[in-house]
Amino acid sequence: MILFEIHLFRQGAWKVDSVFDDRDLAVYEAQRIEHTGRQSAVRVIEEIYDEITERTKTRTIWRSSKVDKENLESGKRRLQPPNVPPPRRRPPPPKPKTSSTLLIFNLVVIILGGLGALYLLQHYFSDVF
Amino acid sequence: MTESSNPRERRLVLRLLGHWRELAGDRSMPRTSDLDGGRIPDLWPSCFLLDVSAGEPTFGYVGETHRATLGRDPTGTALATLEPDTLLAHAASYHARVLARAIPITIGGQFVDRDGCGILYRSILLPLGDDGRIAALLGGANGRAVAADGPMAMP
Repeated sequence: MILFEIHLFRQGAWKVDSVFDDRDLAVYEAQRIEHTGRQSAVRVIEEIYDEITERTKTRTIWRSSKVDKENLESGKRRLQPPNVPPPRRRPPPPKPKTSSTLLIFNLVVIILGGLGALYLLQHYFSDVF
Repeated sequence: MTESSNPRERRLVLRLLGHWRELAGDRSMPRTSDLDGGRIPDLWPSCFLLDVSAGEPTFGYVGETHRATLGRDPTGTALATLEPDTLLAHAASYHARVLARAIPITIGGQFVDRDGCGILYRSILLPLGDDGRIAALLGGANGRAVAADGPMAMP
């Protein structure tokens, strides 16, 4: 059994519009739909059902020129190199000070402070006594 | 110019399909109440309506061409009661496919009528309803007698 389906491209997807058992009639109707200008794209799919294998073979036998135009433009877009500037490289963020460095710095300050304090105390008491 | 009024298009199924598209507009199908046979006076005698809202398909309208061929008016009777070797029966035979897919389907073919005459025909069934629920099918069919070795004029 051979059937011909008219498909319309609506809301981003192909939808079956009508079914014919006659190729010429289906193509004629598809062309008529195209000429109304109300549809973005129209195509006719041939469906051949093999009753022995119970499999269906499909192929597109006609499609509106709009489909070709859209496919051509889409192909061109794929072939053209991207016309966008390369992204700017951001300077690397400054490395945060590690906690161990800060700890050593604090220890040195405390030790120096303690030594200084001991020196002052020793000097003070040596003068008093 | 509307689709159905295209003077270049004379085929019944395409003209009826064009009228159906006009009635549907942006909807998936027109309502039964949208249909007015008076707007398609030259097509209407070859048309019929199958009411499917109650389950078993029943003829809601049968055009004069089919009534004349049958010799009676089957309006109000079930499709299952129709003689199988008639144009109307062949034209309505694929109603289940239209109900399942909810889109217009057109089928043509050839059969031998009760008088032993070969009939070459073309038909269309179109869904009518609301919100995707089909209430009825609008059908249209015409045919011509054919000889064993080719088509000939309809008597």
